Amino acid sequence: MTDDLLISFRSEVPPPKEATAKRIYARATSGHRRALTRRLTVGVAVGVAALATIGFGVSALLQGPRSETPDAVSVPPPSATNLFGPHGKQVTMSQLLADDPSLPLPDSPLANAGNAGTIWESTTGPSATVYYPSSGIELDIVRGTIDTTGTPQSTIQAIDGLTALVYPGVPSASPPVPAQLFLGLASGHVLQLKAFRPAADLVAVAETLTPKP
Amino acid sequence: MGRSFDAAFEAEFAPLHRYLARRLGVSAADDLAAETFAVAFRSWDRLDPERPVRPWLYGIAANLVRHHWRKERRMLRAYARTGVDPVFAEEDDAVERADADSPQPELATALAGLRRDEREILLLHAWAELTDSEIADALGLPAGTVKSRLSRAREKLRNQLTEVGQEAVEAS
Repeated sequence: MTDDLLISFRSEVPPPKEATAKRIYARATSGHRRALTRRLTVGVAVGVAALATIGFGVSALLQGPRSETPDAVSVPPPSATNLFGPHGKQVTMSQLLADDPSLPLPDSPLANAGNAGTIWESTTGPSATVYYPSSGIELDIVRGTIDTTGTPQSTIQAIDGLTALVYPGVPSASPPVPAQLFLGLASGHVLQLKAFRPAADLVAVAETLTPKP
Repeated sequence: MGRSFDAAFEAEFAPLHRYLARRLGVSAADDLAAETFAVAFRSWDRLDPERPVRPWLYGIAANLVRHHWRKERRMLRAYARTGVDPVFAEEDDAVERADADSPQPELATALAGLRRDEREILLLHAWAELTDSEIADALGLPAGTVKSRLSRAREKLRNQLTEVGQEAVEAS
């Protein structure tokens, strides 16, 4: 409901007109005619190609923005997600533990090394995402901190002495929102658990993290 | 072959302009979009070829929008108070757009009540359709911070709308 409202809020704002696009292109690039001229002198063919692109671009703008109406605003449903783009690699649990034995991972009936599904690891640091298909829980560990300023007291909990934010899911929302738990780790990372399950399940899973975060 | 500024302008101008117009109105969007692309044009040669253009552009825009956050909050509050959205005030039918039954003024109140950083992240997600990692790239924040702030913003919005809805029911 909230997401639908947000998507529709001011959605009547029209895309810019072609004349606006032309004017703003000229304004954005006008302070640098000397540099542009130098580039054109260096490579006339490149300049011609660029001008052709401008023409194509402005005509393409007539077709409107790439997406007039976003489909949905939501937390992505728990799944096997590569959060790390080109820096992500899919690994096994053994490889993940070998690469970074300090990553705190759960050892509960709902989520443990034996029932982990798809695992993505970042090649640039100790970050990973692990999906546990039998319980539908996704775990993400990424760099970050927990900021509790302005957060309702009811969402703040302590787990093993660390600050956690726990949000119950809203399955009736459109689209449904999973329960989420964020735990600030001493290493400067945030561990997130999310699933369409009671938030208490996520807390129970977080209490089994090993090694202790 | 390297990316061209013109191709980036072609792909990103219209969505970026519309995003800015939804936040601050069309006139401000003209200025902010022009300044965003002017900064991008000046820095184009120094842009890391591996870095995605889209979050970089929205990061530049976010830095510019920061100077307008009080205006944005004022506009949201004015909409909540009057039912006439200042974003459409430049248009002739602005008053006709006012709808007494619309829940949007309540949403305006809720958005105005968010912290500046929360509103930024929420609207980059909802209106610019950036992913969490693109928002992190745009704002220079760790992805975990973006995720937790986004969740908190959505929770606040939901709670505030629920409160307003309950008050309306009680008043009727």
